Amino acid sequence: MSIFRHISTKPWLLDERPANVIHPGLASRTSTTKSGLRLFLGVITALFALLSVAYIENTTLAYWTPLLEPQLLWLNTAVLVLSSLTIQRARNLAAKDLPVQARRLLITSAVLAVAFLFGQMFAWLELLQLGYFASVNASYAFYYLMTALHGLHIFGGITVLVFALDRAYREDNVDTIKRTVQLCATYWHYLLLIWVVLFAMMLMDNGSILDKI
Amino acid sequence: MIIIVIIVLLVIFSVVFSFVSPWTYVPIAADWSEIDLLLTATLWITGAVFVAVSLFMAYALYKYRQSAGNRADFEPENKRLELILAVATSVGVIAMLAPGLVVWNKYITVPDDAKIVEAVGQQWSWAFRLPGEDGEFGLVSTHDIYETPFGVSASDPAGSDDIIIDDNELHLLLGQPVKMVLRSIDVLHNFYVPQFRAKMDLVPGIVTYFWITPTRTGTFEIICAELCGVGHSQMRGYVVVDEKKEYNEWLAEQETYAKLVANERNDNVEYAQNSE
Amino acid sequence: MVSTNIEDSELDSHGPQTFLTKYVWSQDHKVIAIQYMGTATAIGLVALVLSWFMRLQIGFPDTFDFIDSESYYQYVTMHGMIMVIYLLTAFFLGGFGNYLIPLMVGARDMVFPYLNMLSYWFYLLSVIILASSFFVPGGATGAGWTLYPPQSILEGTPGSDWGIILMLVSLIVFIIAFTMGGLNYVITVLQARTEGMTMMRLPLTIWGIFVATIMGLLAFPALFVGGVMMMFDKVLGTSFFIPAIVSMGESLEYGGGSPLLFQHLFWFFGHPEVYIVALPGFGIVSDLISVHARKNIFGYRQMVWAIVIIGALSFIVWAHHMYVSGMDPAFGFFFAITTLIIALPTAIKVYNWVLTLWRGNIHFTLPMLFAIAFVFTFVVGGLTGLFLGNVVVDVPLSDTYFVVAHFHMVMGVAPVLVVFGAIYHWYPKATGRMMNQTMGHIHFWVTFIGTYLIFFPMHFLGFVGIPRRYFTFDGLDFIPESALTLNAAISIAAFVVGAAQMVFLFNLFWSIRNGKKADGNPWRATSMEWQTPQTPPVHGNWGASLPVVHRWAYDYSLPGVEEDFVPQTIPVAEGEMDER
Ligand code: HEM
Ligand SMILES: [Cu+2]
Ligand SMILES: [Cu+2]
Repeated sequence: MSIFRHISTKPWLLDERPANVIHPGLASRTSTTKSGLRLFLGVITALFALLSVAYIENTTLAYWTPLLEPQLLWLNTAVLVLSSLTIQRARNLAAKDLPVQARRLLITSAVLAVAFLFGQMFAWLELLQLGYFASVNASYAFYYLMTALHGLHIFGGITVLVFALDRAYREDNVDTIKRTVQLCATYWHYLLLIWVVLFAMMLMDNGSILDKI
Repeated sequence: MIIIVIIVLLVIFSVVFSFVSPWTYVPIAADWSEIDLLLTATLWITGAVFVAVSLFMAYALYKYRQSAGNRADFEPENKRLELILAVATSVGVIAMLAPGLVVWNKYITVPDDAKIVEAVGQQWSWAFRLPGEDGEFGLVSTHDIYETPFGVSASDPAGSDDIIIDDNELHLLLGQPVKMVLRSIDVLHNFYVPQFRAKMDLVPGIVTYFWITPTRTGTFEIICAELCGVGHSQMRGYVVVDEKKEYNEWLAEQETYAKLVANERNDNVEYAQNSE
Repeated sequence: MVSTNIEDSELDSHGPQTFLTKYVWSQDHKVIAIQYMGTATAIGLVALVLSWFMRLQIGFPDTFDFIDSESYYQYVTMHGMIMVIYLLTAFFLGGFGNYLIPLMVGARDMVFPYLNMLSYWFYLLSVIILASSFFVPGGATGAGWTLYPPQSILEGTPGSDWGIILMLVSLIVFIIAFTMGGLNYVITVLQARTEGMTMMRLPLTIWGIFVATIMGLLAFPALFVGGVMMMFDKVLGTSFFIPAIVSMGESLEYGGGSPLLFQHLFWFFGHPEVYIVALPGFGIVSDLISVHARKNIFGYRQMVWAIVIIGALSFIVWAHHMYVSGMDPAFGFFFAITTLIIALPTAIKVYNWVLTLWRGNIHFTLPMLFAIAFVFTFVVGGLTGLFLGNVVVDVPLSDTYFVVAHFHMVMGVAPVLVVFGAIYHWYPKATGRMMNQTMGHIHFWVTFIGTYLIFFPMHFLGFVGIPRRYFTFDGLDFIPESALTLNAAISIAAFVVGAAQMVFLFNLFWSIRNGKKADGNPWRATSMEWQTPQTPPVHGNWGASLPVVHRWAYDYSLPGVEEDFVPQTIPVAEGEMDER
């Protein structure tokens, strides 16, 4: 409740000293990039939450027909989990000041993420070949929409990972590497979480999800 | 300093304008005088607040304008004053909102004796349907609109006595509550008769409604109040409120769905014979 | 995410040297701010010209051949969209947010300067895409700034092929740009405040921008989702928002979607958006009034709470735009109540502005004049909101000129007046010169009185029931002849007001060279941006070491102190406390 206490202080009374002074220039101990990432994850959450609300609302409607999930999605999920695991391992290694070992795992993780994207595309192709276009039913429309938006976020993550790590390793500063790996790992896990939720929603789409919960 | 004069002048202008303005509600023709009443009451209350706040500000500007010996007070806050103002504002707001919600409840609760009338909008015209003797509409399907009149399903017996008015003029009976049932076959529209005060969107895919009781005879314009494409401002129709006698005369002239289908079949037969 | 943590080293204050890195690919928040403002002004001018075209048609129907029904709807749509998103949102957050946040919190720059630069270039890209939609086959979209499907993507609406696609792409790019900027603004306020600058010592300007940015970050995703879904409907033939319909004599392939879903998404974004342009305005006006009345803002804490409460509540009022949309009418009760609850913190803000003037020492400077004009205009716009929020009173008024009058007063004219006031106020900081007073006064009087004359009478056209977004009122018998005369008069006022903006633009450039020289703190203000060692501030803002803050931003006319202001950087004197 410190927020409430804080915003009820009387600022014109001069003895109100800031609680945590970590200056110069920084009002908080948390790294700014870390807070930035957290805030960004908040924005993503808003985005996927709104999408999910629209999705759940649609599953209750009469014309809804359940999605025929490509079995490949299970494999893709496994790949994404693996990618998260490797990046977590990389993070642990980096934390133990082993940047070189971490690097190998990071590359593995990035490759796995790329594999996930390809897997998702193959899943699309599979459905498209069977004639299940986005226009067939809202369940397919949502499937393409959600996988596309999630995939774009993964893609963005990979791009940042490659560039940021490249720079960090060229600078050869262990702290920078540590921090970058940490941020990437957080992002990775979060996107995995989002994927799991989306996938679960797609699996539970025959009838109202609300009934099942 | 001029600003003080201008503010006072603008307040005077606004008040005078409100009283002498020839632009005001068109004479009401439906049983929604409560809405007019609320509107007028809100206008008085907000008008009074506007005058009070603006003139107080003008007075403050005058009294505390920059001058040689003047020095501002140091006054961080005054909890009691804020509390009084907050309470007074809340009272005012509740006074406007509470009756509003009561009337809204009436607006969305259709009385049992209301007759149903359907209005269908499309780019950019109106058409209407009455349920006929059975008091029930036949099923419709938007996609059939070019197959059968109005898209009424041929297989639903309730539809055969539906009265189809494929014309932009609708007649209503004076004093008879009607529930206007609204459908659109393409985009959003809005059924609005300024004299009735009421309005509601027509939304493709769902059926919406509002209800009124006409209180005055006459011919009133139906306008579309939801942007619906280039023809939006040309999407006009008419409601004619009739006494019983005229209404029945008009009703007798309208054709039922069954009749229309029969006519069409005859036309087709004739056409086929002629072209042989 | 690439970033530099702010470490206060001398190195930081050596700015970029070449012209390109200094003024074009700049990562300096002040340059980016000015880039934002310049771009927003340019596209805003387009919107202004479009409003003239509309007023030509409404005031003098059938006189101008180049305006037909199609182009009229394109003007309405582009005018509305540009004004709300590309002008005001960009100006307040990208412009003032960028310029003022680091200066006012005592930071050297934004926390992610690179991202900040990207944000501007994405914004520019979105503006270019938007502007290019005028030139594609079919022209810009004419679906109204609300872009309601189905009509926005169907034949029968202008620009329903390329126009709408470009509009959606542009919005998506804008949202990306906004997100990049927004992360910066929020984290800078939270973490880059200098020593002694607690949240409760921030000027209200920062509070307004800060809360508005958080709202934007949470609200824009709704527009993003709605926009992408509509794009799917348009390009891939999905039916998110489109039920089975027939259009122009043809059964379409669509089926099963819900037009209302889009409206919910749109207004879940759209209502907070109203406050995204209002809150920074609220904050800035509070500071203008305080500085130029030489008095502390009355009820600072209540002002902060009001900003936060308004920000939070505005996420649960969105359906007051949908009272007659065909949604379940029972929602009307809930949304009418939440909407009128917001009236309370808003009213408190107005009272506090007026009470700040009370017992002040009011200097009638240009910024003060604009601030007063804002309060006056905002009171009118706020009060008419009570009509539209009170669900059943909204029924006859919705989609009439009453609505047009209301939202122009409250989110058109009022915020624009703040923008002007703020420019007159901070111009000396950004350029080292004052803006010309004579031109400033001409601009002020014409704009203030003119806009009032344009929009006040429109409320009464709304009482008549005259619908908005009408290309022509030809043949409507319920509209009295005199209303057409009134429309012509309004149009003339609109042209005059538009012309006054040219005076302002000229003044903006003229004063850079010819304005009266200003010292670093011409208004004798307390807040941090006026305490920079150089004016205009150089890269790094603060010279060798960061400033330390000792007090809130409103120590004006302190008892027992001779000067009528004490800057935030001045340490507390012995015994000063006892006076309070
Ligand atoms: C002197 C300045 C302005 C004039 C003369 C003006 C005039 C107009 C006119 C004539 C319309 C169309 C009315 C209709 O046919 O329904 C309109 C719509 C609109 N204006 Fe302005 N306007 C001005 C400034 C602004 C500003 C500063 C804003 C910023 C918020 C703004 C926002 C809008 C919006 C959102 C619409 C609605 C568009 C739509 O219906 O889709 N306007 N304005
Ligand atoms: Cu229409
Ligand atoms: Cu709203």
